[in-house]
Amino acid sequence: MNVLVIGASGQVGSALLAGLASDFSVTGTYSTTPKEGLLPLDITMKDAVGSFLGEHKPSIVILAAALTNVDYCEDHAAQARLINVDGVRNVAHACDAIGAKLIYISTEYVFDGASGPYSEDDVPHPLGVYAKTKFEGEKEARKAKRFLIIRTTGVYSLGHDEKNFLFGMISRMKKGETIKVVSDQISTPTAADDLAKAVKALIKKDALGVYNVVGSELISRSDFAKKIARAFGFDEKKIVPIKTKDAGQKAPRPLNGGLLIGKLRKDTGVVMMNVEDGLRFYKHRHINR
Amino acid sequence: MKYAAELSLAVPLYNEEDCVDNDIKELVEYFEKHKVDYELILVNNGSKDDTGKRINKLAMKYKRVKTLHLKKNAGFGGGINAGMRAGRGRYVGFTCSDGQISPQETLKVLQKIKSGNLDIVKTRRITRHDGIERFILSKGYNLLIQVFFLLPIADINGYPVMLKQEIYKALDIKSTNWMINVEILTKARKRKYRIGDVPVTFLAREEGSSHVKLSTPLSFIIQMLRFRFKGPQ
Repeated sequence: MNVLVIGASGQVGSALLAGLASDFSVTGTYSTTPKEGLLPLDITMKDAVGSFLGEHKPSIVILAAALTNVDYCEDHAAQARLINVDGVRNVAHACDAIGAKLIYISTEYVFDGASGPYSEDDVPHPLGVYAKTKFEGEKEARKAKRFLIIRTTGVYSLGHDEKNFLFGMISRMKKGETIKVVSDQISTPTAADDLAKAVKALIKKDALGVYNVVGSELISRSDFAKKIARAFGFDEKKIVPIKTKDAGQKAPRPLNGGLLIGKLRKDTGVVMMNVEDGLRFYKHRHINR
Repeated sequence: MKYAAELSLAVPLYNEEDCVDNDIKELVEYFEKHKVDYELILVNNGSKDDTGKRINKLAMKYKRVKTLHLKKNAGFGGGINAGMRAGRGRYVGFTCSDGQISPQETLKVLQKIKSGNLDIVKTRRITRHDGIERFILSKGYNLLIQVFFLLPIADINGYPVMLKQEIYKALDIKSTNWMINVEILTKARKRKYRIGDVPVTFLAREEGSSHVKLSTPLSFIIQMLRFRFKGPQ
């Protein structure tokens, strides 16, 4: 089975590329960040997307490419819409043209965080520009004849990509910095390798519709940071919990967020790690490298 | 209007790590067994203990359990209001996680508001197992409220309380303290909403500690006077 990962230079895409390679013939693309072995593809170019998919003829297209900088999106709504909505439409059309299944990587941010965690059945209510464009992107993905929407959040890893919370925290802890971390954003952080494992299981099961794929622990951002410090032998007192309203973040965040994974577990048997297990996994792998 | 559930029940929690697991488990299992279409909104009202972590675990375990974390204690009424505002059910309401009201009684309140086509239903504690001191204090408090607000309600602070969601929104409840019940009932009476009650047995608290202290009666009276002369606080 040929799988195409669009946006394979990013945090989620690179983890999927690595995780799926053992079971499928996988091709990856990049748009703005070239990486060895990846092919260039800009999803905002409709004709280019059509001819790329026509040439490679994947049976599954995973769309992990998105403008994900939440605060940047708030000030660049047109660009966010171009990539996160129009780009998805282009890929969905191209998938239908070659009979491929579209797997769209979405986010917890489609919910407002009034009271989570949320199941696949809960009604989305996105707050900011990023969140709204991702929800619009879901609507575009649903227009594909065969689609699977995967909602995830707080993806962390060591080794795939440097733009994630775990890597960022460790880098700053190594420097002995005092780090302010919000304590009122509650979510379900997801180990990137677990995400890849779950996506693999969903592909093998030929799952369609919407699935939440996140870690099994609901935890605040600051408690997550403290667990990172503990797991990697840093001083957790350097973590200073602050409130979101004092963090100077431009875009609204879903505060009481998180996603439920009962459907994933029931349909695939996949068990997602909690934060401690996830950190232990990456620490072990980090040491062995 | 499309509702996410039939009932959204807010449960304000302040330092309830000892009892929250069992009480919520009991309520969830009872509701599931009786096929109630519900969501429980557990409001961590600025707890200093591990209540927040406990409810996060409960929310990951039970699909219909939601969490809402307030970093600072917003007061009894503030916690209830935060939870009810997040409710997306046809009926919204609140109860307490202290094991003093059985899930059966909670379900009776829902059945009453539905079958009676009422706007608000609360409980009236006819049998109490929480001590003679609490009984006397409660009687005195109810008498004061009845006289002060001309409110012919036998048990002001009986819970759970459930309201139609649109009624809750129309009432625009603002109280952050114990006067939330008085505010709901006085506003509802003024607008001639249909209020019902369900007689219940009030059990002894088995775990956790009561938040009613020696200073509570005085605090009630101060809150009552403020509410009477200055409105919701």
